Parts: sequence; structure tokens; C-alpha cells
Amino acid sequence: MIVLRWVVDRGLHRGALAGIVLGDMTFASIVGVAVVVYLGLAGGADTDLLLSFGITAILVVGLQTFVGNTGVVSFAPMAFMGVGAYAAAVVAIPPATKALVLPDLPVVLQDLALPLAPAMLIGGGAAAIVALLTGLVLMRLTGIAAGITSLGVLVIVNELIRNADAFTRGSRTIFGVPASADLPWVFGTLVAAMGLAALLKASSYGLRARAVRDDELAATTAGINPLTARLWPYLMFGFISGVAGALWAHHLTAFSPNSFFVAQTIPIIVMLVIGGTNSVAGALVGAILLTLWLELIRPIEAGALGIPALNGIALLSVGVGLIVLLRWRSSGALGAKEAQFLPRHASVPDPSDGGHSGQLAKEEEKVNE
Amino acid sequence: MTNFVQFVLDALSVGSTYAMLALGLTLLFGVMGLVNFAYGALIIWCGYVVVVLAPLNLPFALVAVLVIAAATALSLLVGQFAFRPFKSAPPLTLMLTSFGVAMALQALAILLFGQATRVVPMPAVLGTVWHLGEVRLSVLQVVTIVAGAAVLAGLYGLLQRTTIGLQIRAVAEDAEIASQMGVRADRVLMWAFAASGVIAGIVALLWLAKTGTVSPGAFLAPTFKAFIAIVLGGLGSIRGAVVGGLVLGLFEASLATYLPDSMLSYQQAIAFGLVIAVLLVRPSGIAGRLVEVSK
Repeated sequence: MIVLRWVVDRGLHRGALAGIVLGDMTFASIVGVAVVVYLGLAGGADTDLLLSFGITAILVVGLQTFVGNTGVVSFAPMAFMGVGAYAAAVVAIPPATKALVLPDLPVVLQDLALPLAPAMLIGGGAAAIVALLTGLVLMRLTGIAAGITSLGVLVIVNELIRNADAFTRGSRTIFGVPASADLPWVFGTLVAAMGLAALLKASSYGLRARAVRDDELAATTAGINPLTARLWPYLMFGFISGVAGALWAHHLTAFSPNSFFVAQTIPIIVMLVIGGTNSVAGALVGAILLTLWLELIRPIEAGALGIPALNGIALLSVGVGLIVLLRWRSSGALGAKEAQFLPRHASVPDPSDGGHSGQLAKEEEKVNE
Repeated sequence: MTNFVQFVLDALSVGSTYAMLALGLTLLFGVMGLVNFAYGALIIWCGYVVVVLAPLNLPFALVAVLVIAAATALSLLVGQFAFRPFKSAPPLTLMLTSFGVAMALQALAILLFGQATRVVPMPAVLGTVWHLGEVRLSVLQVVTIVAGAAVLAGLYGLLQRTTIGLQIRAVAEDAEIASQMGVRADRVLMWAFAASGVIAGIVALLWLAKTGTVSPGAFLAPTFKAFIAIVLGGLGSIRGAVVGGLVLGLFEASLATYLPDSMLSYQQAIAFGLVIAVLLVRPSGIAGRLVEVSK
């Protein structure tokens, strides 16, 4: 009998890849259904919040594909998200509005008004191209240098967006994107993104990237090219973030380059750390936990409940929380575990010793029975 | 010729500021592998100290001393409580931790002083401009260059001429062996944080004299400049920090002089582009050692 279990890495059975991909997608679907049920019960008041949550979760999943598989920190999610959002805006704003907002756009693009699905693909594709161009150069770097150059990517992309007036309206707010990102689209995309990320993690591409992450020299000796091994997760990171950006554009409908910079990067990274950088499911868990916390603390910040308004208290709690988390549980909520469909009695790797002891877990199960 | 002299002076004063920023940062990277996002937050906090002291009308020399003392205390505080527990953590965990510290310090500034931009009063004499022939030279520029040289000399003296400096260098070289030789790593760490704080205080005064204002979000600019400088020059080496800072100053001055106006808005992008280009040719920076520094 096949059941859904929280297990580290791939299970040791046939169909493991399908088990992990379907498992994580099922988890995302359950979250999506829960959101819809909640909105049904509570009325539509929180729809905006939950749409933002869904899109943010997609971003965190995108970042996980890169950070989890390569072990390299990136501060670039907002760069790819911005590219995705602007690319989607350019193809999706109706021609009448476009003549007003982006009068200097090339004629070919002037009359274009694509629906959401192709706009999302174009947003993701544009971001993936940016990832390819930067990745070919940057994927040679690891560690601190890679972290700092990813900040460079963020700054460079942001300045390019600010200066490409004909396509982006420069630093001014761009508006007129149709508000077509609804619950089914956002949470459907989240499920698909989780599936893609899990597929990457469980596939040979993910395994190669993690081999390079754990021991670059050994992996290279085994014939793996570290640059390409890191490049594939980076492309996936760019694509998923770009798709999230396109959705974001169709959710907000108006935005400016300021919407995609350092301040917006912070929660994404914190969510990833909370859930566990090595887990796709953890990315979603982290997004849920931080969103819940920020909602809980919002009344304090706004000054409800008889407490005077305390601006900055949310940021303070997140900053301190991040330090505490890194100190005492740097593997996050899930470590490297994923939701997986496995035979009920399949032996599973034991997380406590790096995932090599199926035997121990089996014995433990016997005791439980 | 006058143009050239002017150019060198401008480059040198900006470069000195960046070199000082980089020195404070590289010291911490050397002893514990920390790339400190919160470094810029020390600088904005110095700005708020000046704002708070302003109504007292103290002589500026006293204000300067108090600012440097405050920066040192704050640096020691975050070193002790936020960073010391992570001393054996991988560099990326440390980097994320410093991200958390930067957020916390920024949030505290918002809580206490609000989001609004505050004016930081600085002595008017710093803004005085001398005209030597056709060359313009401000007091602030001279002070910056002198302070840069003094900080470098002081740090060099500390590292090369004192026991604690020897210990700092030993820990930077190999923390484990140093501790087996009887070096108390925790104490050395705190000395490094103190030195880093003193430098942050000095550079904060110069930085604030130039910007004239402070706001909770303003910590990013100095942090970015320092990051660029240390990566350019080579992580973890004093020489690298100085070279990186001066090169960045030279680079920015030449952009300001020779770049057409239409390209000026790309300055930051071009600076980061330079970093990436340098890293590709020399992964350990312009003046860096050729071995992998990061652990």
C-alpha cells in the first residue's frame, strides 16, 4: 500500500521520482484547497493577502531550487521577478492603455495583448534568459563571492529596468496590467512550481548539483562539470521566479522598479531558511509560517488591541528570529524532507546520519508496530 | 594638468572612504569568515547618535569621540551576542546571520526614530572649499584622506606591532592551531569587533558629513560599497581592502568625469559589473592571495 510520508531525499524504491514529485504536488494542492475552503468560510476579505502569499510561496520554491541544490546563497530572486513582471506587463497591457503608458514601445509589441498563460510563460522565459546570460559567467563562483555577485545581479537588473524607459516606463509606476491572477491560477501555478522543483531535485540534474555542492573536487573527478551542474538549477530558479513575477504583475496591476529590490528580498530568504533550504516542501512551509507570523504581529504594529503602534516591530522580530533560527535549527523546519508517496513498509534513509541507514528506520518501525 | 590633479584628489578622497569601510569589514572576514551585512547599520546608528546629541550643543570633537565610542560599543554588542555563537559556522550561515542583524538594527532605528529622513548636523567648516589655482579642494576631502591614512597606519600598527595584533593574524591564518598555541579565540574575536567598530565610527562621521542625512534604510549604500571594495581587492586581506577601496574610488571618479550624462544612472550597475569581471579573471581579487580564502 502506498502512503504519503515525510521522508529525506529519494526513497529507495522503484518510482521514487514519481513518488516525490506527486507527493510535493499533493502537499501544495492540500494547501491550495485549504486556502479556498478558508476563503469560502471567512468571506473574501483575505483574498488579496492569500494571493500575495501564494505568489510569494512560488518565489520561495524557485529560490529553493537553486540554493537547496547548489548550496550557494542568492540575493537575486527580485531581479528575476522584476524581469518576469515587466516582460509580462509589456505583452499583457491592452493596446489602448499601452499607447498611454508605454508610447515608445516598438510597433510589434504595441498591439499585443496576451492573456495570462502566455504572459506567464514569456515572463518566465525572459527571466530564464537573464539567468542563462548571468549564469554562464557567475556559476563559476561559489561561497561568499557568489553571494555578493548575486547582489550585483539584483542591482544591475534593477538599474537596467529603471533606465529602459521605452519598455518599463523607467522609475515611474507602470500600470494597466489586467487583474487576472485569481486563486485557481496562483495556486495552480504553485502546485506546478512545486512539481518542477521536486522533479529537479529528484532527477539526475539535481543529484549532480548536490554532488558538486557536497564535494566539488570529488564530483569533478567523477566527470561532473560544476558550471553546468549549477547552471540548470539556476535556470529553473530564474524561470520559476519570472513566472511568479508575471503573476505578481497580474495581481498588483501597477508597480515600479522599487517593488523589486532589497526590502522585498528579505522575506523570501527568511521563508526559505525557516522551512529548510534543502526541502521543496519546506519552502512552502516557510512561506506559510512567516506569513502567519506577520499577520499575527500586524495588529501590534498597527497599534490595535490597546497597544500603541510600534512601527518596525515586525522587521525586528523577523531579524531576531532569523538569528535564533540559524543558531539552533539551521536546517529549518523540514531539513531535507519531502512529502513522498512510498510503500507503507519501504525502508527510508534516516535523516540523523546523513540518510544512509535504511536499516535503522526499519527496526524503528518494527518497534512501533 | 589641473584637471588631472583634481581627478586624483577626488578619486583619493572617495577611495579613502571606501578603503576604510573595507578595512573594517575585512578584519571580521579574516578572523571569522564573516561578511557583515550589518556593517552599514553601524553607520546609520552613528548618524542617530549625532542627531540625539545635537540639542546638547557639545563641541564637535566630543561628539566625534562619543560617536566612535558608540560604534565600538554597538559592534562589540552584536559581536558578542549575535556573531560569537556562530564562530564555527560556515560562512554562508554567518552571512545570513548578519542579514538578520542588519534587519534588527534597522528595525530598532525605525522603532526609535521613525522612517523619516533626519538631518545630521555637522560642523560647517567641513564644507569649506579652498581654490588652489583651478583645483577645488574641500576641507572634508582633506580630512577624509588624512583619516584614511591614519586608520591604515593605526590598523597596521595594531596588527604588526602588538601582541593582540599577532594573535588576530594567527586566528585569521588558522583558528584551530592558534587556539592550540594558547590564543584565546573569543577574546581575539572581540578585539577584532572593537577595531572594526572604531573604524566604522570614523568612517561614519565622514560618510554622514558627505550625505548630511540619515534614514533607517540608508545602511545599504555603505554596505554595498564596502562589499564591492573587499571583493575587488581580495577577501580577508588588509592590502586587498585598501587596493579595492582605492580602485573603486578611482573607478567612480573616472565614471563621473568621463561617462556621458546619459550613462550616469548606470553607475552602480557598472561598478558591480567591474566586480564580476575582476572575479572572473582573478577569483581572489586584485591583490588577493591565489589560494581559496573561504573555508
